[in-house]
Amino acid sequence: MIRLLIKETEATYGSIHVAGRELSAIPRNKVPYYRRNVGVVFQDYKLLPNRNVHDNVAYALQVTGGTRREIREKVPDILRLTGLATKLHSYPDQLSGGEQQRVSVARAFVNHPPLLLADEPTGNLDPETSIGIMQLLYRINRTGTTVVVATHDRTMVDRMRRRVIQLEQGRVVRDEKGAGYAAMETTGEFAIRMRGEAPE
Amino acid sequence: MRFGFFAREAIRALTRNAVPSFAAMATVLVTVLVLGVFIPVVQATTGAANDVRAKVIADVYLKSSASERDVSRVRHIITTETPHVKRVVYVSKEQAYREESAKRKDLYKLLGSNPLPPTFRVYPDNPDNITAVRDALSPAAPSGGRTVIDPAIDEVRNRQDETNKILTATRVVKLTMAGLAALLVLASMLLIANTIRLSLYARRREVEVMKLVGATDWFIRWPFVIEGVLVGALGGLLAVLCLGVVKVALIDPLADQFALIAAPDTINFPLLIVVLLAASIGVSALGSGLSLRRFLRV
Repeated sequence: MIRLLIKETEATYGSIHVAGRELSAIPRNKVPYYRRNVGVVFQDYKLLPNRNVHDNVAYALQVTGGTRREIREKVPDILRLTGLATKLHSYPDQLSGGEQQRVSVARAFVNHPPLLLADEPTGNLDPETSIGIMQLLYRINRTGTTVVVATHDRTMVDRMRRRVIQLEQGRVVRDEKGAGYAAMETTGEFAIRMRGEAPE
Repeated sequence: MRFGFFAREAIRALTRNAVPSFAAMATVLVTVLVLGVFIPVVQATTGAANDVRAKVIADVYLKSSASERDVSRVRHIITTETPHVKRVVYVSKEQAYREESAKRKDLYKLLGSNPLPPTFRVYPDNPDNITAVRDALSPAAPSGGRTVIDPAIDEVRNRQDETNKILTATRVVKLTMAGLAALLVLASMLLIANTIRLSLYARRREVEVMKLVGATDWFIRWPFVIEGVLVGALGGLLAVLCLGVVKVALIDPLADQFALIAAPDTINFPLLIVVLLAASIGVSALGSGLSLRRFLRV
């Protein structure tokens, strides 16, 4: 589904609209520019093993034509946001899974796209680290970015208490508006709730 | 900034798969070397062939018994009545003997007498008209064979056959060289394509990430094109260096001694270098393009 949303594969039928734009109407040579407005996080991180954390994140800016100055300004910012400021020069294989996923999120969000797609971002992570990642995504969400998370983790979905769209066999079977969460929760409160420690 | 990025990526890729890059570079080197030798050689042989063509003449052999009067009559026929004649040289019996015996002393000493006929050497105005000259002096007989237009003429022969032989030989040289060069060009193109394919494979993750974060198609392609061109240019440069060394060390000193090597109208060296470098870069760009078209679906 995420592949459809970044126009890596085309829908066999039906149409896909993202932010009011019909995806099949975007010509091939405009696809890269569309993708720059969509950040993507994958279950397997897709980091470049031969570059350190800083360069992995900077890569996203480099290949989209970012200037050196932009890289100097944005990369440390995003690394601070994702809590990786101390791991600047580590290589992906020196990082834990959670940290790698953070780098992946940082790379997806360094351009501040209005839409962030996360495909099973916590699929490979233990519950505690997953909460950290979800916390990070929540923080990003609060900056005004739409975050779409695809996951199999039902308890996590239930605890998030956000809008949930459940798919079964490729069909929408549930679409409920998130209810009963404080709109202006701090990330700390969010984490506690995610751990299931808060009184229901 | 952008070009620096591309170049850095290309060099990074080159050092990572050094072996196929080296193979491709070596092939380009050999190709350019062959081309570098081939171009002047073909020019020299073509020049030589043209020289031979320019020397095309018809020999009009008179009968050994021809008198002075016969000689002047035949000369008159050739100079005034025959078309396409530029120049006529008369070689008397004695003259011919002197010339030939100088070439093969022992043979003529053994012979004792002079078997050579007096000869007119007829130069046509244009090498292509040699047959016309011959036909005029010695028309084809209705019964087959050839007659002559004057009883004093024994036989008219042109040197077409010899000329043809030389032209055929140069044509064979040219064709072989061209075939070899074409094969080598193909080989270098495919090897560069292979290098780029391996590089693509080694960097498929990077390509994937690039697509993911919204790099344009050409932004993804450029580093690979540069990588290929770099391989080609490096091979070409080395080959040109080799050619330069050979030229300075071998051919230049010899040129004073052998007229053949300072052959007429060969391409001048700087131009040759430019042509060769352009060819190597063109070939490698084509090779990269080949691989990118086939293996990089962006």
